[in-house]
Amino acid sequence: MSDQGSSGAREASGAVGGRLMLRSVVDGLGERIDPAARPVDLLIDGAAPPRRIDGEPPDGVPVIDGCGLLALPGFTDLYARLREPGPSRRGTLASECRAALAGGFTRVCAAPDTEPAIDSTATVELVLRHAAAAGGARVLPIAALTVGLRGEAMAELATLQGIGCVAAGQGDAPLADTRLLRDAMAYAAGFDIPLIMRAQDARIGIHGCAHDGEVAMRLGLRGIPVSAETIALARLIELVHETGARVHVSRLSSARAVAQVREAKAAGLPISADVGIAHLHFTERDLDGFDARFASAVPFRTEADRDALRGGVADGTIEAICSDHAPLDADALLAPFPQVEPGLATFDRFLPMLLALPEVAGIPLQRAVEAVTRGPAKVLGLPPLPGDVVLVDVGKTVDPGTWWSAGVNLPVLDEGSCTGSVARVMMGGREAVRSHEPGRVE
Amino acid sequence: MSLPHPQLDAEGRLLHFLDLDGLSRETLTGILDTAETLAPVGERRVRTVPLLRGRTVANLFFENSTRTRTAFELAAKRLSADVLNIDLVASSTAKGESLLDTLRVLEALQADMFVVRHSQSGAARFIARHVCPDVAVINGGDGQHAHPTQGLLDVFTIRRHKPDIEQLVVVLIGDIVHSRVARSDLAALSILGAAEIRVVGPRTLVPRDVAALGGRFMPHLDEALVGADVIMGLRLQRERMQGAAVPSSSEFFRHYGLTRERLALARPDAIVMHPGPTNRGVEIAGEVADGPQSVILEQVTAGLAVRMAVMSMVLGNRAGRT
Amino acid sequence: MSVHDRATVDGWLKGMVPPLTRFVTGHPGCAFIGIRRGGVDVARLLHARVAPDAPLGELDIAFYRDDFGTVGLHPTVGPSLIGFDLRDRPLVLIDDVLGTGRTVRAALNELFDFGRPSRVLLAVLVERDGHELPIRADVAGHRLTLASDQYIDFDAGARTVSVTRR
Repeated sequence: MSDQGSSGAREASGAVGGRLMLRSVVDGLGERIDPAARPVDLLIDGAAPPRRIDGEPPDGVPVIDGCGLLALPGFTDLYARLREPGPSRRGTLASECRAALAGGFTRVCAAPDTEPAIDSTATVELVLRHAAAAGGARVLPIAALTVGLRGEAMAELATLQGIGCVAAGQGDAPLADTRLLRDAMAYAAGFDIPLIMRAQDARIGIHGCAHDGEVAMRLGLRGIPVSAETIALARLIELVHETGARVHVSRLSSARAVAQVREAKAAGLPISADVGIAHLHFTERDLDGFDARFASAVPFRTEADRDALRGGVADGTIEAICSDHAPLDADALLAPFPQVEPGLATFDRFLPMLLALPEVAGIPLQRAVEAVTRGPAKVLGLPPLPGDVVLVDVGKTVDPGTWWSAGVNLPVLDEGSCTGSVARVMMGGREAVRSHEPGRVE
Repeated sequence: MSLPHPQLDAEGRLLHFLDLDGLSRETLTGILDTAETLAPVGERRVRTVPLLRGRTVANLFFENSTRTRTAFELAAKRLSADVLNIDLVASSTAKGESLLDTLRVLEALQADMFVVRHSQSGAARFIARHVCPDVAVINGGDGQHAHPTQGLLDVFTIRRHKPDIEQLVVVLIGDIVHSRVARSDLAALSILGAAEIRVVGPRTLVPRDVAALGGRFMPHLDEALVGADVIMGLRLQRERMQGAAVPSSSEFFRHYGLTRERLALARPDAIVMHPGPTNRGVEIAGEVADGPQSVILEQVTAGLAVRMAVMSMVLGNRAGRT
Repeated sequence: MSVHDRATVDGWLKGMVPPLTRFVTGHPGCAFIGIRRGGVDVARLLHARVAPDAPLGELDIAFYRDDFGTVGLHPTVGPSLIGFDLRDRPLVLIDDVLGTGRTVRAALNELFDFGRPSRVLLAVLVERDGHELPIRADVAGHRLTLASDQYIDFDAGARTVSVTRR
């Protein structure tokens, strides 16, 4: 299988061949991460694992002053909407790839639900080309499983894989035709194409805008029951069993689904799963009072569901935490709740939300970082990127008026989750340059 | 982190009237008492009081409703206000103009108050959050969420017949899931401390979490009616009857219709209520709707007094502001 | 603070009886109406002494006040209680204190929304200075001139009138 990833981006960011020395950083690149450990000097190499060095760097290797900051591997995101091709008011590859760096991501899987969807070679080539020019995180496109994501006919999955798609999926579009799903899974299995699928019934909860629980009931909002996820997940699991397809279940939302995934893995099925960072923090209570800032396509469910998702990450049932990044312009939020476009632009707040997990969610830092580095890489069989390092200022308070994404719908952080900032990003052993100032809002 | 409820000021007084959520017993009782004082106005030679003279009330109805709109119009006129009826059902929203843009245009009317009815839950609160601060918003019904004046006029009617609400067993029958009236009734009765609120209907029409609204689900109507002081029927919408949540209207009537025989199971002085319009032969037998225990017509008059009270209190609370 | 004791106040009430009796005699069908709240007590007292068989009513002027725009809705005790037809009827309108005249203005507006009386006689226990409208009592138990920061309070139970500084 070819090395996935935008070859253009590779050249632009020097995925191979760059070297630099980080002077005085806390080493978070290994198995153990202790933010309070004594800083050391590291040699970062695009082609080899990082190693400690003493004294001066080899000739010609630039030195970056790490200022005692925490060095972590660059993160990999299994699901983000980068909005291009599509209306630019919601973001472009330029804006969102740079925002991804602010979240600590050096590698992002692009959701297939662009306009048009990622179902043709032309669209894939456009995405890869614009991403390379953007100079931000590397972009790995997810192909649309069906043409136009309409759920009627399979897209040219093998061809799309050949030109750089790392997986195929339906985005947030449900797939009613079970027979087509079965065929697509069998076909994908034949080419060893992993599928990134959200478990979502085509009818149950399809008009809902919030978890089908107490808050939605009180507010008179149409609910999305847990069965909308679990029935679709059961269907996926059965089809994995029968077709042998590799399925990564994207963006879980309920305790029952976590249990289903655990059971399927125990039975040895090639199933993996992730959860959106926001779903480790928020619940249905947060949208009480019709708070449109918490409208989300994957609903925020109960505290018990959130606790189960946290437990799933902690025990490894859920391999990865993704951003589920969905930038929206101001107009998209200015309507009564049921008519609001759902989604959160999480890139710019991903890091503080991740760093808060040990304290608020009982997920050890080691495990949280693994869930955004080794975990997602393993799911898609992606090569490690030893030259991708982010320097993180663990104690820096987030400035609520500053962000990079074109979206204005950033998650609302509470007091316990608002410290942590990416200070510098290295890709392929070279520093990634962000050429524009982040946007400010009064 | 959560947004403050726009309907109350720092002292807890109503600046808008959007829903009954979180209102105190004192507030509700205050509105009911004021309504009692306003009720006789309609019996006089001159059926108006000058409270809102010179003010303008605009009825913004994004959803059709002649009866509710007329009720608000009449209430405003009885307070000597000028009334504008803006029909938004067919016009701008169909053209795709956003609600916010429509609001900006309507603000040019310089109305003191918007009475809003909308098909989306949360629309009234959205309008209250985004409209210019001089305008008071009254919720005339938003989606499935709330119809607070209806909830109030229902408890106003109950109070007139049975002053001690804390002793009452109230039975709600029918479609709770889709009913903003049911949610507001449950809220009003809970706040006023009704002894027991029983909720009866097919499982598809009663929310699983109805206990969180203060209701106790009972699957069988006959059982629920024993000892009932107040029986409230709710409208079953046509869409629900067409095999969607309920196989047919006749099956619904057979199991959940309030017939004379069933009514006899309740206390002999029980009152029968319905927000209207009734579907005779579906939720309620005609003879019960017209019978001696029915207070359905009274609810309509109650609506007038309650709306007069709400409008005058909300605008009164804004006194002294620019 | 100074207090006019019960004996004094009774004297004022007694002084009001003859002119009211003359009015009642000259205007058959006359009714007494007290303005809430102090006026209701005075009305009851006068009604009992002058014309116990005449109709007696209570007027709540909360919805006719002129300060809704600045102060908001005043609390009410309940609806006005006028159990008789006002049309073409002579009325004795009674309040405890006449000061600015705004209460009486509101009362007159409300009365006319009930029906058109043939004649209205205004009787107050105490008329003080500080009129802001051209309204004067036809019959007053007592007249006082006070400073603008002084106010009068009628205690119906004790039948005393106190004058206090704010």
